[in-house]
Order: sequence, then C-alpha cells, then structure tokens
Amino acid sequence: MSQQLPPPPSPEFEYEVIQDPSLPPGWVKIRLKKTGKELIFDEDRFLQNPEAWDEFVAEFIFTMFEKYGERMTEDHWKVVRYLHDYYVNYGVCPPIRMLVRETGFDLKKIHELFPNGPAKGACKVAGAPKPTGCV
Amino acid sequence: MSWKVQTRFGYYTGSAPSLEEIWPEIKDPKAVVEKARKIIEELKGGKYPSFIKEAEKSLYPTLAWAIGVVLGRSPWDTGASPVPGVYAGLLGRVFHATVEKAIREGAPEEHKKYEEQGILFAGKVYEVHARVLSPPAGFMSTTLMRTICEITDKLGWGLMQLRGGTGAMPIIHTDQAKVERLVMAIRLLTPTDVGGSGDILRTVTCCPGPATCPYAIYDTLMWWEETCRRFVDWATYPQFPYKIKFKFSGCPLDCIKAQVGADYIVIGTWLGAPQIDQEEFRRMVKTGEVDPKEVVEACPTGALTWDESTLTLKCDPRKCVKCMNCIIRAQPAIRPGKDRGVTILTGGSIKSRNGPKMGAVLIPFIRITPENEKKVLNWFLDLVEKKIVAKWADTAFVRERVGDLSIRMTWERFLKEVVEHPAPDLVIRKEPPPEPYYKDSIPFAMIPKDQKWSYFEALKKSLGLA
Repeated sequence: MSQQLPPPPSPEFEYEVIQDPSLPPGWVKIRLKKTGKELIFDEDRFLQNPEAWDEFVAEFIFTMFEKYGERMTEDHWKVVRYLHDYYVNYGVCPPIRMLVRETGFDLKKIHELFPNGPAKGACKVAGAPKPTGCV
Repeated sequence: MSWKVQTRFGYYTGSAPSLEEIWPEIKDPKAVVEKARKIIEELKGGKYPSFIKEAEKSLYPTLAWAIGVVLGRSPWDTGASPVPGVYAGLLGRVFHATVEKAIREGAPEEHKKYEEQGILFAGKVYEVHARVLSPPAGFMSTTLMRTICEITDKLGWGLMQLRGGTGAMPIIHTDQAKVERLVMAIRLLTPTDVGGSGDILRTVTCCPGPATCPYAIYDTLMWWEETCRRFVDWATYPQFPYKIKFKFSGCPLDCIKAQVGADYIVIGTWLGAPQIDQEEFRRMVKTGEVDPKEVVEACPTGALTWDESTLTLKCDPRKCVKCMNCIIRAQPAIRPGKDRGVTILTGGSIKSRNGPKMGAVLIPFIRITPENEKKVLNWFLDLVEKKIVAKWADTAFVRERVGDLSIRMTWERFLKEVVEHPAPDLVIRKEPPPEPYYKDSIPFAMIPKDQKWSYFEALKKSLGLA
C-alpha cells in the first residue's frame, strides 16, 4: 500500500512532501503551496488531521484521489457539505440511506459523482475518518 | 494464570485460553511440512478416488491445507477485496501468518511455485471468490455451464463450488490478479452477473416450483424474478447494516431450507386436509404400490385413519400439520389441499449478532389464486421494501439482521412498530364483552350496596342474557 502520491494535475494544486519518521509506515505528510497548510494522509489516503480541512483541501483530495484532474460541481458540494456538517456535529459518518434521503440523490448518482463510492470516496473528500465496514 | 471458580450453576470456568491454545506456534517448520506431506501421500494412495488428486489439478495450495490439518486449524484468514465495477466488493481469503511462515521456512520451493503460478498478491497467497448470479433454481443450459467451466479454467484456479451454502451457484475461486477479467467475462454472458458480498441483497433462491413439480403451490419462479427485478439497486449498492436474503419454497417439504438462514421467507401451504382420491388410493393399495399402514404411521399427529371395512382413508383437517409425509408415500392419490396460499416468515439467519436462529411466522396464511397471485406478491414486496427494510436500515446496529432486531425490540413491539401489523392471535380472537366497572377497575366488593343490583343488570345486558 506504500504507493507514492500522484503528481499535481495543475499548478494550483502543487505540494511538497515532508519527511517525518514519526509517522506510521504508509502515511504521508505534505504541505500545500497555495495555502501553506500541512496535511497528513494514511495508507488509504484518508485525512488524519481533520482540523486542517477547508474547501480548498476538499478540492485537492477530490482532484488527486477521486477524479484525477477534475473540479467539483455544485452536486459534489451538496454531498460533501452535508457529510462534513454531520461529521462535525456527531463525530461519525451518517448511514448511507440517511445521506440518500437528505441530499435527494439516489445511490446511482452518488456513485457517478464519487467513483470510489459514498464511503471511500465522498467521506474522504469531506475529511471524515475511514468508515467501519466490510468493504 | 489459571484459576478455577465454581459458579452457582455448578460449572467450572477455567483460565482464559492462552495464545498458544488459540493458534499453536510452529517451532520446527520443517517437521510440520514433513508431517503435512505424509498426510497428502496417504490421501493420494489407494485405489479409491481422492480429493487431493483432484485438487492438485487446480491451483489450490494443498500443502497449506495439510498444514492446517496438522495444526487442527483452518489455514485461511478472512479478508475482502475491492474490485472495480463491483461496488459491494468480493470476499477473499489469505494464508494465516503462521502457515505462511511455515511454508516460507519449511518449504521455500513451494513458495517459489506459488510465485510461478501467479497466485501471490503483495507477497501473500490471496484467494478471491466470486458468486455468480445465475437463472433461478439452477436452470442452466449446457452451453452456459460449459462456458462458465471454461472461464473457471482460464481466469480462475480451475476450482468451482457448484452450489454455495445458501444456494448461490456456482462460486468461482480465483486470485487478485485475474479477478477483474473474471468479472468482465461473467458479465458478458447474458443471464449471469457477479454478486457482491458487502451489506447488500445477496442471492435470491427458490425451488424449481411449477417448472418441474406438479405439487408446487405457487409460482416460485415468478416471485423470484419479480423480487430480483424490483431490488436491483439493493443488490448493487451497499446501503444496509447487514445482508438481506430471500427464499421462496413452493411447498412445506422445502420449509427447512427456507427457514434457516433467510430473512424473508415465503412457504406455500394450504388450509385443511390434503385432497385424497379414494379410488386411486384403493387401486394403489391393491397393486401393492402403497402400504396403507405405513402411510398412517408416517403421520406425526395421527390425523390419518385407514378404514379396512370400507377401504377409505380419512384425514382430520384439524390435526393435519401439512408435513407432506403422506404425500411422499402415496403420490398421485394424495395431493395438497384445494384452498392454497402462502405463509410468510421473517428473521432467520445463520451469521449475525445473536447466532443462528430460525424464522418466525409473520403472516400465517394468505390465500393465493391464479388471479390474485401478482397482487399478493406486490403487497409482500411493498411490505418488505416500505416498512420492514426501511425501519430496519434506520434502527439496526451494524451486523444486525432483521431477526436480531426483532429479538432486541421484542416480537410484539416489532410487529406493532416495524411491520405495523397486529399479532395474528389478536385478529382471530373476538373482543371480550364490555363490562361496566371493569373498565374503571373497581372490584365487586368495593361497589356500594345500592349499586350492586344495577351492576348485575348491566352485566346481564352486556353478555346478552337479558
């Protein structure tokens, strides 16, 4: 799982890798050049310091790990904002059926928006931790 | 530390199992491998067919299996593998760490063989198995079967379970490198698809029903098709606390297969006694096809009686429990009853929080005629979709199936709040006649003397005696 991060798709998303021996194997620490924020990703590329999350970080995660080189649309933001608000309020990710009910998108649409699925794709962009579950 | 305490039930609770007891540590890997090889040689010898000989034709690592036999544990550990295009993912198995270590140190040439065969993934032997969704009740043309066998040889380990534990057929074993192409190949065949293994609707199973059996009570194949068509989304996208399974049994003979391990169960039954064709039965007795004594003895509740003088077989409909023991023995003469319908059960499961359990009766009987069958089916699917699953998906914990929810909520509350149906007894039983004073819960002794007489009058009126 110790793969390297893909190169930035556009100059806006340039970053530099910070070597940190205290991190567990497979984890990566980077600094964004535009905002100067430091981000820590685990081996599945989930954000490990959620306090650093903002809209630019969401764009960065989406374009790097979800749809390479693409920008988020209004539909993406609707899902991500709902997930992030829920995570800030309750500390966990909502059940999938609740996400469907609240956003009004069906699961097919959510899988089209986030190809890795609601758990491994949308929650990752929203800065929430890895959801528990089988797959 | 070991400690022994006598509980008040008289049992001793021993010490907690040590790590050695849970998984024995291998100190001499070469000796273990030698022992395992001896077992394989022993099983290969002799003139009888041997499963080891057959398994060695495939890519299955037989040495690991034999090491498992030596240790008394399964060599496989569970895992899951994400496959692009299968949203629910597929199930996988990895070598247990000790078995892996034993093979690496005890038989390095075996490990090299795995590398040549290409079944390693990230340095470990990683198996993935895909469930093939096929036509109902296992109806397959030979062409389809041959193509699936060819795919198994080319893109799998050459190993296939013809029927899985819960009725899925077939299950193909492969590895991480080939699984993506295997999924593509199976999806290109028209009537088949790959079933995921996450928290989704798993395979829907049914018995062949009216296709092969003249005694099928309802059209199981139609119910299968309608269910699969309606819940395509459920079978594709994981969205539930745990898995969902449907089973359709055409007659009570198939009831156990359905009750064990399915969440939503439909079993065909009838009201009253089975139909008995007396003339046909007499003819069968004359020709010696049927022993009437045996038929009567086979009845577990004693509902059947054989009258020697008039040569008639009688059945008491109140005692008949529809076990079909008589129908097996005297087939064309005794047939299922005329007034046919289905029983709907819910909550059976093998793997879940509270362990294995059988389904409980939700709807005791719904009459089915050829005209209203589709209506009943749609009503059943609406009940499952809009009431039970909607509530279950919201309220259940992770890895909790409908049966566990009904245990946690209690069955009465489950019926009232989730299914929104009263308990069957409440429907059948009449309301008790209203009594004055009963409602206000005033006992008879507490009533003032002058009012006692008027109470009797009112009581008489309410019971219909006045």
